[in-house]
Amino acid sequence: MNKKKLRGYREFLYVLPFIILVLIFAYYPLYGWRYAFYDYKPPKTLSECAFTGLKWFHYMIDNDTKRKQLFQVLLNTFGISGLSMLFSWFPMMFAVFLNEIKCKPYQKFVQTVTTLPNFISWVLVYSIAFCVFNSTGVVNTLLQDAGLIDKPVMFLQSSEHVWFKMWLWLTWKNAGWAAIMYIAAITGIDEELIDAAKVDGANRWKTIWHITIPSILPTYFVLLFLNLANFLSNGMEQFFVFQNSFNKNYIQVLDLYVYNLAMGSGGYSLATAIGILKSVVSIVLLCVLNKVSKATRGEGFI
Amino acid sequence: MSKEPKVKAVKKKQDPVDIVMSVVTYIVYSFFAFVCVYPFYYIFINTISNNDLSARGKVTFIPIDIHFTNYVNVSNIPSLMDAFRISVSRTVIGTILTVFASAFLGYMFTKETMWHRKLWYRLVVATMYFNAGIIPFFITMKNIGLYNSFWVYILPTVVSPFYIVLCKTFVESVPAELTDAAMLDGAGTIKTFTAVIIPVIKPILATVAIFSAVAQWNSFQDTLLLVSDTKLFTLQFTLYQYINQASSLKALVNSSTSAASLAASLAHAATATSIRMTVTIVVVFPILLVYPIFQRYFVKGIMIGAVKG
Amino acid sequence: MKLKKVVSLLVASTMIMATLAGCGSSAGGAAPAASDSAASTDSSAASDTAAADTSTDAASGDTMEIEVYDAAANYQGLQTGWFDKVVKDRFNIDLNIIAPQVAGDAIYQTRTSAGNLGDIVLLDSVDFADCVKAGLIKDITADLPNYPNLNGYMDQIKVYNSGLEGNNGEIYGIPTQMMNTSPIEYSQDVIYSSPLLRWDLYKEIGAPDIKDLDGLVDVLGQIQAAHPTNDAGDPAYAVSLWPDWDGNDNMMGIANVVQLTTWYGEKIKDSAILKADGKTFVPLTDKTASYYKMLKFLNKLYKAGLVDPDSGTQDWNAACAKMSSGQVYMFWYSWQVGFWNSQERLDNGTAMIFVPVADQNYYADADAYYGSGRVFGVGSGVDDAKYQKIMEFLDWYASPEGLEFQHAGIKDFNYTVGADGKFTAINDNALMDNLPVPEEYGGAGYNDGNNQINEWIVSANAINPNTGETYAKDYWASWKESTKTQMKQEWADKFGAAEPAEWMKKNNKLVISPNVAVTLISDTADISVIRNQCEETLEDYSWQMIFADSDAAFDSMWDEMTATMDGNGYQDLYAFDCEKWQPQIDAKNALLK
Repeated sequence: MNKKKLRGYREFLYVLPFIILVLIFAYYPLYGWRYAFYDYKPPKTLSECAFTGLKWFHYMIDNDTKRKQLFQVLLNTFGISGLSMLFSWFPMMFAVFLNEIKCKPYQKFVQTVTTLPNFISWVLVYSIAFCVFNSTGVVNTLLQDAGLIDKPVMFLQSSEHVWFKMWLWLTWKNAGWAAIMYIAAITGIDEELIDAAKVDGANRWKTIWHITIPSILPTYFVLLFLNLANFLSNGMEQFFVFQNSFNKNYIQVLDLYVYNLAMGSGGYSLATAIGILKSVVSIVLLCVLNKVSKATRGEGFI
Repeated sequence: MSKEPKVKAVKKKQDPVDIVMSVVTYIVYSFFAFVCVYPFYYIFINTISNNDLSARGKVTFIPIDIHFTNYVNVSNIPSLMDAFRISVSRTVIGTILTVFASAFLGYMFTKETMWHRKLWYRLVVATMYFNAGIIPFFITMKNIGLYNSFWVYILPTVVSPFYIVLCKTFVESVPAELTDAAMLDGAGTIKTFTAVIIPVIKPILATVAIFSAVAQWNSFQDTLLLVSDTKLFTLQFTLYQYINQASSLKALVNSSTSAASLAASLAHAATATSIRMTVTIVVVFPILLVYPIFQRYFVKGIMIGAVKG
Repeated sequence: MKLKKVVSLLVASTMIMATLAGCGSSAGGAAPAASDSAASTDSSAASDTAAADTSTDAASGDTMEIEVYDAAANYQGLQTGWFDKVVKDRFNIDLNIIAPQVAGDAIYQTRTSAGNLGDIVLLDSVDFADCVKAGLIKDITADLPNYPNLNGYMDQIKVYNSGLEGNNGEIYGIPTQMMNTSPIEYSQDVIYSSPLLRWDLYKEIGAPDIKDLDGLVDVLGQIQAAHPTNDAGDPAYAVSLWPDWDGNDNMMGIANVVQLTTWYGEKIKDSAILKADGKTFVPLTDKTASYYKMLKFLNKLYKAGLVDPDSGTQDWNAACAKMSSGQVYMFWYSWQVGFWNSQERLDNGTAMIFVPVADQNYYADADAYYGSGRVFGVGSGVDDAKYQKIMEFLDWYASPEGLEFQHAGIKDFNYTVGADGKFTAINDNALMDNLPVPEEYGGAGYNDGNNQINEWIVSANAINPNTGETYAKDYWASWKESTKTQMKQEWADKFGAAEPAEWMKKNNKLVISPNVAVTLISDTADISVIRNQCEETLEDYSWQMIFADSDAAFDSMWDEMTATMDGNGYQDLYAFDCEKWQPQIDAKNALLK
């Protein structure tokens, strides 16, 4: 009993240095959250700025126009996050079937090249998209030559299916990269299990269904839950480069909205306030999801 | 080595479902591979084609007027080699430390016996979901002496909750007998970690290594904010500002009062897209070179039985 | 066995790393292998050496590094190349440039909050005033009179500093691009924004007189009908716009449209429009003002099929490519001609040139006698030795010798000096083609080694006392002589003036807005957020209006936009902006009396 306790303390001592790092780099700077309660604007010091209480927390909902805008922004955020959650199994299945490819050089090739888009910055992705989809670009030229259309289609300017298109871009860019995690998880499966199944006469489909997928499902669930808790953050770079005045109504997600709103020094307090709200939502969601996980899978994920 | 005969044995009795699946898989993956390769190929041929044509979107399938001035220009950026050294250093050191910390913490957080284990684990995971803002972060860094220090590239990312979660999930899938056996043999926590856990979780360590190496290699925000000492500039940062130099001309235009000289400098800078493309190729190339090293850990399956025995 | 491999890999890579860090000659001091304590002090190393070497002559000793926080730079890092050599030879200093344009807003926020922007500080005047208030800028009142070149601009410097809030005669800032002419004169040949057309195409359709904007639409329509593509066969349009410059430059609205309002003598001041009388403000959303008028003009062009359909989605690079390949028939920024008007095209008459529209009345800012709006200062954190170096450098920076380097380049590389002491340009493509600079002047490419501070205390158009001509080559007699063309002659014959600005003055079509030194108040946190939101709304609707299919759709969008902007607090913003700009307007009108 006492020995166990002692062991517990010793194990804690092992991780203590890392906990200290976390405290310094992630928790200590949180004192900066108090900027959200002031009209802060550099280069003034905080003490020279007026204390405004919760002003910035209800700034975005203090009249009808803003409420309407915020509603649309949240709708977009839910839509785009929802789509990626709905298809979150894609990288996993990508990895599973990739693993089934027998020709190893080809497998390696596919695995390598599908990570390439991850390295192309969004700015450059947009330049390429523009070259391909502009009024005289390859796609329009092909369609016109084929007689399918007679006026160029303004793909990038259209406000239709924006969420879906954004999801497609994101999948193209990230699927191969995200698959790496699942490939690792698959490699971690005990080969003896698979060999045993094969000896029992299971075809590949059955092996996948009964062995591969159940083995990597824990990884999938943990990642899914971690992402779910983060659904308010879509990042903004992708949407920033693809936004224009014609599609903005459907592309403006929360992160981009805050960026556009809080540009320049004067927006620092507002951006901080929204950041706090987002964190609170995420942490609450995390706790709820953990409960859900406990109830359904019998174990929490954190 | 020992697997080969087994695989061949299985191949002989191919199921029709398997064949259909193979064909479909090949087609789908070839398509996906093409969609991923083409843009990269597109970027590459544009960097070696006539810049005017490429700016007008005329180079789509084959390079035209092949030249290498873009690469020469990039290689002429002053102190590129120093920046390269810094980038390699931060990538190597940062990755080693991050991988070690992720593996170790991922393992330690599976230990039910640890004093307040859940609290510490949650404390770490929660950091994924908040961000203090850049001003307090900057001031903190300055106060603890990391401003203009090489370690500003390394220390803040050593404990990365996402990688820890990945490692922990993986460690949990390792059969308990394995560690129990080691413990019974008298191995301590550390010994079990190095002798039993690390060999088994190598695939996920390779993943973490790739992720964190690429993140380190690509990062320039930290240099931007926290480093003004030019000796510590990284390759990515040097290239980033080379790109930006060409594209942040709006302010230049709005502030200058001499139209004629301005016009000249603008025309000079108008090939930003080619520059951006060249930089992309230059940056990605080293990553592709080290890729196979990591990949080795993915194609070999783990034989837990072999470790056990 | 596998574990061994991993360990050996780790060891090997650590060794590689250590070797790399060790062998870097210049990286030595601050390289990762060095102890972390050495790197944590950023300025102490520099100040140690500075104490030893306080004299100007740069004989030996370590080079002092001066951090220049530079709002104008679009390069971050050490100054290199020929300009570095010029500065190092004289002052033995390295200029380490911190460029918020490269690094983004964040660097201003973080550095100011930590209390030290840099050793030399160059800021927009609004920010500068804030920083003076926050104690980040050094008071240079006592020392300024000791520096003869800077002292020569004392009048202007004093006027600027007296405008700082709560100032009792202290001097903090030195304005930029000052002129030695007068604050109500305009001495350049072209103005910033005016309609520019292809001379050959304009002649081809008979060079008709253009009455008003409808006439301009008509002329452009004829040109595009005659030449639907450029010579290479790519589709060409009368105008091609780009959205990625929108926002944040003291003028609300689409960046491509805000300048067009100056064609009717009106000038956008944030959310307000200053009418041509130079006295009255109207809201930007006023339908009788020029923002509406110019949007409508672009919409007319669109409906006539004269607007590049990619205008709403292309970035500036794509637009530049079109300008330089002849796919655009009308320019409106004076600098746009840089993409098209080569000497060859000027010679054969296919260049772009100003063509007047009869009902227009152009607005131009007068010579920047009191400066162009940015301000140099010294950081409050510098020690005495560094302070002295900085002042010596700034004094040289405002001296004729320094200005010749900044504006004309290197003697015998960029220009030669004639027997009469006047300059003649050579290698005039040095900047554009990044010509290699001879080793004796510092080597590397000319553009690479060009002055990265990118802002000048004295304007390029000021008169050089050594030559009696401007510093920049554009107005040298020798340059004018060598760039005379047939096309210019034709233009002059038709319009009866040698240069566009001369024509405007002659015909009383130029509203010159006097140059004054008034520091504007900076936005409160509230106003800054309202500004962003209104600006977003205005830009989004404006683009949609340009692409509207009918006048009815155009007007209904305009009304919707006005309502949304009001909901976002536009009225507060307008009231704030009128108050913000009023002192400047008053000062301008006082000068005119």
